[in-house]
Amino acid sequence: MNILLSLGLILIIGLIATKILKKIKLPAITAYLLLGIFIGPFLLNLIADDLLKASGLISNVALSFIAFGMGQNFSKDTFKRLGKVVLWVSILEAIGAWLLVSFALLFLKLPIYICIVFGAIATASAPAALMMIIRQYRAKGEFTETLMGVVALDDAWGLIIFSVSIALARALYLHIDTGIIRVVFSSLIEIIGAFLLAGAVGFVFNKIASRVQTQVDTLVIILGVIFFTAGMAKLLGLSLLLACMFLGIVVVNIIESNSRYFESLRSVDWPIYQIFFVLSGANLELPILLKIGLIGTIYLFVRVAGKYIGTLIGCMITKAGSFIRKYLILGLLPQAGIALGMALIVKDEFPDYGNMIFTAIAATTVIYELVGPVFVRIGLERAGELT
Amino acid sequence: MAVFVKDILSRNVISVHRATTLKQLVQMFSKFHTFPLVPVVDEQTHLVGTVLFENILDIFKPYRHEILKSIPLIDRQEADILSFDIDPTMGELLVVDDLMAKKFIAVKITDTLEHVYEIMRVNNKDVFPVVDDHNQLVGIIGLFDIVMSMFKEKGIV
Repeated sequence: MNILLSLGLILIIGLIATKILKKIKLPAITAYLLLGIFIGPFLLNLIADDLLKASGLISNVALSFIAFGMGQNFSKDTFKRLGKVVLWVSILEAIGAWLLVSFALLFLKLPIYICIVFGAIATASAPAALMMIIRQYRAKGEFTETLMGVVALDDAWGLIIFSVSIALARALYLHIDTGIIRVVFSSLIEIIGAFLLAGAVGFVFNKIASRVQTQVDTLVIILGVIFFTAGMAKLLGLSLLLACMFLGIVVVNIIESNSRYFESLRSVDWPIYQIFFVLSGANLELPILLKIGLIGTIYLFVRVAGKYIGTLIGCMITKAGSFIRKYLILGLLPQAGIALGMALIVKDEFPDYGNMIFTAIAATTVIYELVGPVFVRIGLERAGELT
Repeated sequence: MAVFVKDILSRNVISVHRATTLKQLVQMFSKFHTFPLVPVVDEQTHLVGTVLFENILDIFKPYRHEILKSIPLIDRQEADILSFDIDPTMGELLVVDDLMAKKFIAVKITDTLEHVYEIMRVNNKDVFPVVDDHNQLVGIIGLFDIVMSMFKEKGIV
């Protein structure tokens, strides 16, 4: 097996797999993940070793794109359109899942830095299942709109929380003996540095943006700028995800006619995501799967509890309607791409526990994706917004 | 010699109001080959929006699809025009104000042709509404107008 042959197989079989699984209403990401397990090293072994070793690189590329795209949410227009309930609920359910899962894992005697990043992965949700149900049953109304807004934003908060957690965890890991001030200082540098880097890149980008005229130029410059930002962040030891997300925020807020950059990236990003997800599946170590029963089960339930508590507090603050308070949580269960990406990064960063975390996340993703859509449908039905 | 928008724009333009219904709008253009850019004006003919064919297509798209624009990793489905159910009363209920793009690019009558051509390329659009200094609609300018002006300059027509 060589890399090119593996890539070809991943793309072609991946496409066929999604078409087949669509018939039984499974989202594409689940199809890629299962495919990855099948053609991965433990079963058919159709993926080149060199490509598997490059999983970290590919997940960095995929997540840089995702983080940049999420920056587009952070404009005044979007916040105004989504409204107060969505803002509060999305922030609080993300924080709720983070804190509760981190806390629960402390009881299992895992090191604190592992608990923090594991908890941070719990923030992510997945809109694909929700969208499928909304389309299928033509759901519409206030509840549907709020739910869509919340899943649109909570991954963005999740990415921020995750980046902060990684910075903290890295600092804790390295400086646990040298004191808390060192820890706080070193993680702050990682975050503020990412912000400054994105600002500087955005500033220069803005200067040359009016010279970018054709569609090809647009695609070339945006890929170049994202890779440059991500690469500089890595070189300087700054948070790569935050840098790319801040870059998206800078672009959407200061560059004129900026939507063309996001759109041109969106027109080419899917194959990268597909490779990324299949590799995620291939990275799943089947033997570990048997050993994560307890951690996986705790994660599975505590994540939901955390999100539910956060939703309740958010609804209390914004005095949201009772349907949103009672049933919104049902739409937040699915977990997919973003969580896997985060888990792959953890696997890279903290090899001693990373494998266990990655396997737990991949396994729970499959479970959430199987049962999630059922709960989403129940939620929309109870809220009376299915037609 | 610089050519300006005012020299070549099409002044004979059909515009609509915010309250124009979908039915009226579509009937207005049912005899055309394509659906043009339609400027939306208020009572004092100030330009307030534009309707493009893509705005009409939005009707076929899933509910509140604009929220999802920036969500990564969802299977993006094209609008399914052939299996689409809509209540006939929507023809009267949907008005231009619901459909029109409120963020749009307009060019000034005093702009040069080079400038217009540049923003066409940057934004990947081929037609813009044209306004005067008081934001009142005076016409539209499209790539075709620019091509025609080149043809005239070179003596082809």
